[in-house]
Amino acid sequence: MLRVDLESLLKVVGETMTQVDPNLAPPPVAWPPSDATVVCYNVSKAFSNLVALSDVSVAFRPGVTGLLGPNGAGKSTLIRVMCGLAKPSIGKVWVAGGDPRENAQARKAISLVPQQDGIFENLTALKFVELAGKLNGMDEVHSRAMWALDQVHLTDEANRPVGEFSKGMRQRAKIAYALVSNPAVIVLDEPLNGLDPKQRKAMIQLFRELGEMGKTVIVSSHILDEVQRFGSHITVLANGRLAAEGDYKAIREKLDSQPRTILIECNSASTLGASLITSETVQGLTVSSNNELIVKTSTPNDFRFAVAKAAQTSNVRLQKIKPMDEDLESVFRYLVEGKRQ
Amino acid sequence: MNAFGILFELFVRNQTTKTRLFMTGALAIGALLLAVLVNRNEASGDLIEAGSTLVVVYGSNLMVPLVALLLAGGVLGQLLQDETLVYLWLTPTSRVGTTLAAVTACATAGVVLVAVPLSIAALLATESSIVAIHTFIGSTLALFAYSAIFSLLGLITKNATIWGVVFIVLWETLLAIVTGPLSVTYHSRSIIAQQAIENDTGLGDLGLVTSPTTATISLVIMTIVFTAIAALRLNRMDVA
Repeated sequence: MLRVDLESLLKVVGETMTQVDPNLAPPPVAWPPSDATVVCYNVSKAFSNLVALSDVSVAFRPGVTGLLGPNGAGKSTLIRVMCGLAKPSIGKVWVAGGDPRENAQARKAISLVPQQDGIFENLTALKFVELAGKLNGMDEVHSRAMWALDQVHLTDEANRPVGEFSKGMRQRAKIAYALVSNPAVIVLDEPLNGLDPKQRKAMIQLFRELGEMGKTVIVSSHILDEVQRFGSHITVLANGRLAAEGDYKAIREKLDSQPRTILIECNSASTLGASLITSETVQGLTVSSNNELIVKTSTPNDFRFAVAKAAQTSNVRLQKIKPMDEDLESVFRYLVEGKRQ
Repeated sequence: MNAFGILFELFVRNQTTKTRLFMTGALAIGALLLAVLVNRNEASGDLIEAGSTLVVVYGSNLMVPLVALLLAGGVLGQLLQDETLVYLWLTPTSRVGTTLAAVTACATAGVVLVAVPLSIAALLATESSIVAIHTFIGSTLALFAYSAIFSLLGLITKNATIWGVVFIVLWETLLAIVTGPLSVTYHSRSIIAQQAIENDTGLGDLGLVTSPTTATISLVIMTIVFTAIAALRLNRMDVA
């Protein structure tokens, strides 16, 4: 019944959906990767008249992965589904080999730092963090909890009720709650919200260290600059679908349809521009100042030779040649908005 | 301490807020004062009937369901609404264990806050330790049944307090003649007023028609059934 509803919904928005019985259809060959700790296979999730996730198959491996997407892309829904908080309408989720909604060991393997502020207000930070350790059946809960609080620089506040904490301190207490049980997978939904720059830097460093320790760290964030600092592996969602997955630099390489934007600094931008404008390698050209030229090209390798030749023939001295759209933000825009910077 | 004990402690701590303690304390003091008044104003021969009537009307019909609603109405529902349930969700603890801990925590707090003072009130009013014991047993069993019902109510509605009051007023009180054995009060009254019924004091006219054994079994079954439904509901629902 639910499938019929989903299908009709998707038809309304002009899309078709692959009918997959997760119990019958095997995952594609060589997928998921053998070291994947979280696997979502053909996952769709609908809320009454809204399809939040559509046919998403994605695997997460040890290391830090940035989960990106604009508001409403389905990031939080994917997080809820992979943590077992919401049941997929269609599809399957495995965490450490088990379904987190059914399997206690799968739930033990994953921790979540939720985006929402809700927290057990009347517990001290220490009691709050100890709660996670106790519920996960850990030994030496007190020392583990103190270690987790130390990781987020809250040791001095251990005996204060979390209800008295600022937003940033609550956020750090939630991260300590997720760390204490030593899970294989840590999912963080906008974890840097409310933190000051110094704390952000420390948390980014912590996430990187956890990734290097072999933990699967999945960080959802809308601040691309921060995601870039976690590492280069990203998963991008757009309109409830998987838009891209992998190293964002490699993703940019594959985006052949998008011309590259290149900044050239030289001693005479207008002279060089006049020389380059007739080149087949140039799709567009803007002289932004006396010594800055912005060029669009779909053949960057050929363009290198063309610009060198143009500079030589027009007697212009090149000072710097720099790609402008190979950063994460540009890749994200191409993937999600289909726009050029 | 195992997961049940940890959750039990957490739920007791969460639900016994100062406001709730003040409200239940006021109801308990009211019961004790009324008991003293009843004891002073009645001839010794009528103490059992008058005291049992007080405990049934004030305790079984009002105090027990109200305090159970205060404690259990939000024990799980509030966690859903303030989005803290997520912290309990991603642990190996089973949903059945979580529900059982919630119901037990509310009922146990209720025993301390209601069943004990009500039993003392019964003793003060009737000067009968048997009535006091029956009051303790009847209130305790009713607290467990109500805790299960109101825990479930908190999971299926955002306004558990309002719907709980409607349930108490309509189902448990005004429609008691119709609902009879399907209501909690019917069975708790049967246990509490057992001595008065045996003495043929007229309390049977209130509709106390079942035996204490049947009443006890019925309340236990109600507790199990509603706890199971709440656990099932918790297991199937999506958490924010």
